[in-house]
Amino acid sequence: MEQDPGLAAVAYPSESVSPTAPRQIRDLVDRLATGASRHQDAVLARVVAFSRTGREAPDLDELARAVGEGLGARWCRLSVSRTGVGERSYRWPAGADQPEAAAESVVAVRFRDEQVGAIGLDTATVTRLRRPGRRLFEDIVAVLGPILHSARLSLELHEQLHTAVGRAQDIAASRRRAVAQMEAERRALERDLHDGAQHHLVAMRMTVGLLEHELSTGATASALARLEQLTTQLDLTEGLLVSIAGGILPVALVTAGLVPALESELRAVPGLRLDIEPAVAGRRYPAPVETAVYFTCLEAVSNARKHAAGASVVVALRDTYRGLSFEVSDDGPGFVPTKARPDSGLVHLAERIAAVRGTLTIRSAPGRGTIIAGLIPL
Amino acid sequence: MRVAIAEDGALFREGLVMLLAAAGHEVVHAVPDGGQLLDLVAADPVDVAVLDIRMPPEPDGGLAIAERLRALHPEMGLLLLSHFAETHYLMRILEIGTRQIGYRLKDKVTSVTALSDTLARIAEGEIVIEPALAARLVDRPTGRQGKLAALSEREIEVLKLMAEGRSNNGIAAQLFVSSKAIEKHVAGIFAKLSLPADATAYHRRVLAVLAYLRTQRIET
Repeated sequence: MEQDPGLAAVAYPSESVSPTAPRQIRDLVDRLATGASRHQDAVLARVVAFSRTGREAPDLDELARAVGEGLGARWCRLSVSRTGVGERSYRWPAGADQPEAAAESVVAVRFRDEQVGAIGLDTATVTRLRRPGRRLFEDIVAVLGPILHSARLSLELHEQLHTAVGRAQDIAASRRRAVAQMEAERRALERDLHDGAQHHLVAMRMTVGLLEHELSTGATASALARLEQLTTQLDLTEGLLVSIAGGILPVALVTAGLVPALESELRAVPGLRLDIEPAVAGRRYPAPVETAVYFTCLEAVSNARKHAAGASVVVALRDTYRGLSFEVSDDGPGFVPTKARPDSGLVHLAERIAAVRGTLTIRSAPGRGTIIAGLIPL
Repeated sequence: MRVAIAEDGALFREGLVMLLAAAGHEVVHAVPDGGQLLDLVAADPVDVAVLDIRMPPEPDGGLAIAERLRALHPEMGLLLLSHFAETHYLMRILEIGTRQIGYRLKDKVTSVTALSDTLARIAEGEIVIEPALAARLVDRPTGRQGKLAALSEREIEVLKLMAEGRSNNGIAAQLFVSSKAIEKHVAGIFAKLSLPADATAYHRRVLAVLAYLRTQRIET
């Protein structure tokens, strides 16, 4: 788009148009009262009416029509600048093609020294404008200031609301998944206790039953052997309980921290290399962070071993100024991340990390291996 | 006694084999699934089959196997075992049969005497019901209500033992009194609960008592 040099005076003379748009409106009303031509009164009145639409955002498509028709233009385009994102345009006539930049004369619309939008008209119309048409155009640009400003606020508010609602939905969905996951973990634990520990306890009770029988029948030798059997069963059951509890939180993680826990778990994995910065090895992190990183790394390694069998895997931990970063990479077949199913383990990983305010990124492509990287700000 | 076992938990199965051997019984078959047991006992019958309720086909394959066994070998005793006392299992078992059948908890048959006693009662034609389950039917958390409230403490004790499937002699032995005394208590209980007097014969009695206790539970 190109500023029409002939209209620069309209767009920028801040002393005549901006920044005190309300005064401009007062002037305008005065002039309307003292009588300019009837057509111009009607056009301005129609445009000004858009500033009085109450709490609703002004209908800018209609406004573009009012301006375009009022100035006798072939088409009119109004745009609202938005912070951070591109402008949004409203066209009259509706569905008109994107105008050629050379064919459009654009004038900035300002409100309190800030550009809030722009108006674009076909150049032919603008060049043809003579007093009082040119005066009418100046007035319209001035009046558009507060109107586009209000439109901009309304757009931004709408966007923020949209984002907030989206975020709230994400949080709710994530919470639902977390609850479902916890429930599944609880059931798995219940099953482990029932299928594992309980059977061992009943088996021990049976041994005691036999021991009782042997003692009551005077079979002392076999009773002694039975006691030994009972001791073995006790050890077995204890080991089983430790391993079930270990499914909840590994002892090494709780007592020694992230790096020793990862080392003890992953040291024996063939084809896996640990690349851990001494700064990470030397410190403890908040328990939720250690737990999240520990399980995410294990899960990522197990994914790599499942989907990239035989590939070499590197688990790297770094202590950066932005926080604790970890990376699990493999040189396996890779995959297209966008094609990963939403219920895949990757979602759980991302949620585990998000729960400690971290971010998880997955980079992969067919034939290029897979990198699962995370950063937890500390 | 010749016994067959179908139990998918190896630990418990092996323990049972040892307990039964210690009790002087002959374990003819010990297998992890009921289907296999059906074939084995067809060729080589046993006095009592011990079945885990929760084994394949899930979720309670032992009950299906018990049903088949009862149809194929009506004289074979059946002992069903589970980890938890479930009233609905008991009801299914009563549908399968009310004589030569038993339902007990795994951790209550871990002594040689308890296991032997249970098997002996089943072999004699009794029905054996886990005492904890029988007691649960009699004792309700809200306290005894209705006609049950009219029973004396002694009568409640007798009622629980009846609900366990014990005979008059069995109850007498448990309470260290004479069979005659038990007969009097049973008549008193039947009168207070308005149960038909002609149902006092052993097998009809167990059913009458359980049916009564069950409706009592449902009403509250």
